[in-house]
Amino acid sequence: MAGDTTTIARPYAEAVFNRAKETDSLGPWSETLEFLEAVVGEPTMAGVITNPKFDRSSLTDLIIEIGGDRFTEEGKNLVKVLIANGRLTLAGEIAKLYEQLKAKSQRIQHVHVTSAFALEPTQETQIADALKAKLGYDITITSEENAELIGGVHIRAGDMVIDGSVSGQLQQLANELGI
Amino acid sequence: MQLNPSEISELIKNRIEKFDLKTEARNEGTIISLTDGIARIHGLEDAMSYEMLEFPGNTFGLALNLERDSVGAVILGEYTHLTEGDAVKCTGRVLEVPIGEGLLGRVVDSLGNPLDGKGAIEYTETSPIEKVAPGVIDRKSVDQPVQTGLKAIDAMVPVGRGQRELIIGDRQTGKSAIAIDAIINQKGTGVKCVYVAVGQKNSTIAQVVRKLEEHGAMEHTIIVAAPAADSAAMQFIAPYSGATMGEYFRDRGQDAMIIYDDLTKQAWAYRQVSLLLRRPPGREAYPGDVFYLHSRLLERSARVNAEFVEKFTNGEVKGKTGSLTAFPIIETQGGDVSAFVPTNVISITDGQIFLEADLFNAGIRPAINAGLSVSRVGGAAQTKIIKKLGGGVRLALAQYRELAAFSQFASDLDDATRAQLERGERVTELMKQPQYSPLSIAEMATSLFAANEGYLDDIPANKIVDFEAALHSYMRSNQKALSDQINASADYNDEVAKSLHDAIKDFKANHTW
Repeated sequence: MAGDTTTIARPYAEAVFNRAKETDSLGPWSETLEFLEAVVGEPTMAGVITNPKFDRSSLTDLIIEIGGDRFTEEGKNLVKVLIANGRLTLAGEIAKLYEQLKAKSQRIQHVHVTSAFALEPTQETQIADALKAKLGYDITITSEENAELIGGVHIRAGDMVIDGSVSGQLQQLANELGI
Repeated sequence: MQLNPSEISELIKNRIEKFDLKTEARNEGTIISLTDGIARIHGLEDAMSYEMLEFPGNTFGLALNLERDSVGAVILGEYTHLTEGDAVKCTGRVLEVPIGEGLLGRVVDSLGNPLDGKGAIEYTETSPIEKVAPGVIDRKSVDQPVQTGLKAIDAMVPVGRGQRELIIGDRQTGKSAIAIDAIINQKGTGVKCVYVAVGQKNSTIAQVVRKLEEHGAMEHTIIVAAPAADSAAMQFIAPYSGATMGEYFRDRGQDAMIIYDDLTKQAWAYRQVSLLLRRPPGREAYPGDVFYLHSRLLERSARVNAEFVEKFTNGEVKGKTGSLTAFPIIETQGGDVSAFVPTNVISITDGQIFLEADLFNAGIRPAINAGLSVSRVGGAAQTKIIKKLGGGVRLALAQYRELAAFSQFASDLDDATRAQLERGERVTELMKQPQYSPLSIAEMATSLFAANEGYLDDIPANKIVDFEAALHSYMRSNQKALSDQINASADYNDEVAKSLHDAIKDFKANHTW
């Protein structure tokens, strides 16, 4: 279950984040985790990780060798800890949580905007400005087109959703009428 | 396809006109697993405990488990149209049901939706199903009686307005029958009744509704039905919905009575929900908070004082106390009152009416065990005349049962014992009462008076029932003034005693039975 992996990955992500803040290396750690995620996510690697023929020490050596210079001393230690605990597969989840923590500490909120028609850059900035005023965070926007919305926009920022689309309003009307 | 009454175009037009479109920021999450009516939802960071969650397709759920990364919710009603990945929204509201006079005479489900095909429920207010019970300051002691119309109960285990009296017994011992009789007897007294049917057969509920209609008792009754086919979540919340509907009357200075039939099945439903939510099982696999499940429900039955009512109604109702009397029903398995749920509810309530299968099968109906049945507060609320006349009945019956068991081994008995046995036998007969025939105070008083004064001693035990019926009909036709006087004042003095002496003597001398 998605919820379980998040719960297990959270302490790792928090530990990495706190260490990164202490050593003032939020950026390099981002790259390290991104790289680790890419390595673990590689389909051939997945076979290797779960292969019982590779014991833990040889797997550690392999990953560190692949990384080479990209791993700092601390990065290598993270790999060792993850493998020793058998949690290497969670690298992706850890990277995601780390990015969330990083964004939160830098007061950045990622917003996903879905609209019926492509948004113009001015509209995007308008939305970003309005959301910044509302949430008090710097906003980064990704947008998507979805003709099913009929009109309007649907904004998602983390768990919070602002549904200003026509299809959403029609759904509200349908609920009201009990259809 | 059938057209609903709400689908008249004028009505639809009005509703579209009034439709208030709101675009507001809402918390949204996604379903990550869906099993047996339980959804685990990822996200929903701001969800509150017992908050209503909105699922697609006008379906609602109840957030019960709030965890770090997910929310465990029960879905109220159908859930087959939902799939993993569906969006779930917070509503910011706790679950509410309609309340008010418009519900009287209706059969509704746990959410207050009509089930009786009599059209939409008329209501202007809704109220949360979970509420905190009135505190110490708002309460008043119980000092008015609830007449159940059953001799055995009103004489031996009297119930006061605002009391919680448990009805406990095995299956098929007449638990519901007592409750239904009590509802029928509230006709014309102004006491409003709520009957909550949990986990029962639809046919049984239909039968109850029909019987209440037959006796003209539906006008003052609300039936909240969560039949066995309803989801466990609906069965688990039904008593709370019913309590909210009953509290409407209590808070407005009226008297109401609520019957939970039965709380065993509600505890089962809650156990199912809890186990599916992966809460740790405890004794008999019930979750740890099963005591609180019932205690917080029964605590809402109370008598509130006039100040509370005045404050609640903003001064509209003055000088009136309100009450909600509860009759929770518990079904035991093989007479085992020491099981988990029965002991819990016994300790929460202010007394119990204990029904026994052996007595029921011996033809003693209602099958009340006089020794084990008690009422902890009702004595203070008993009508004066019944208190005076019925005082010795419970003791006499309890002693008789013991003596009867003992005397089976003895070959000859002294006169005192024999007299006590014969007396007990007659009182046992006298306490019998058929279903759906509640008695007035005067009728009850006459029967008890006859027993106390020894008028039954020369009547064969197997004729007592006939004698009593004939006596009641004589009192109704020949002694109407006396009956009316007793019913009106419920007072007992030498004058009343003399009139009763004369009446019964006259009856015995000049009438047959």
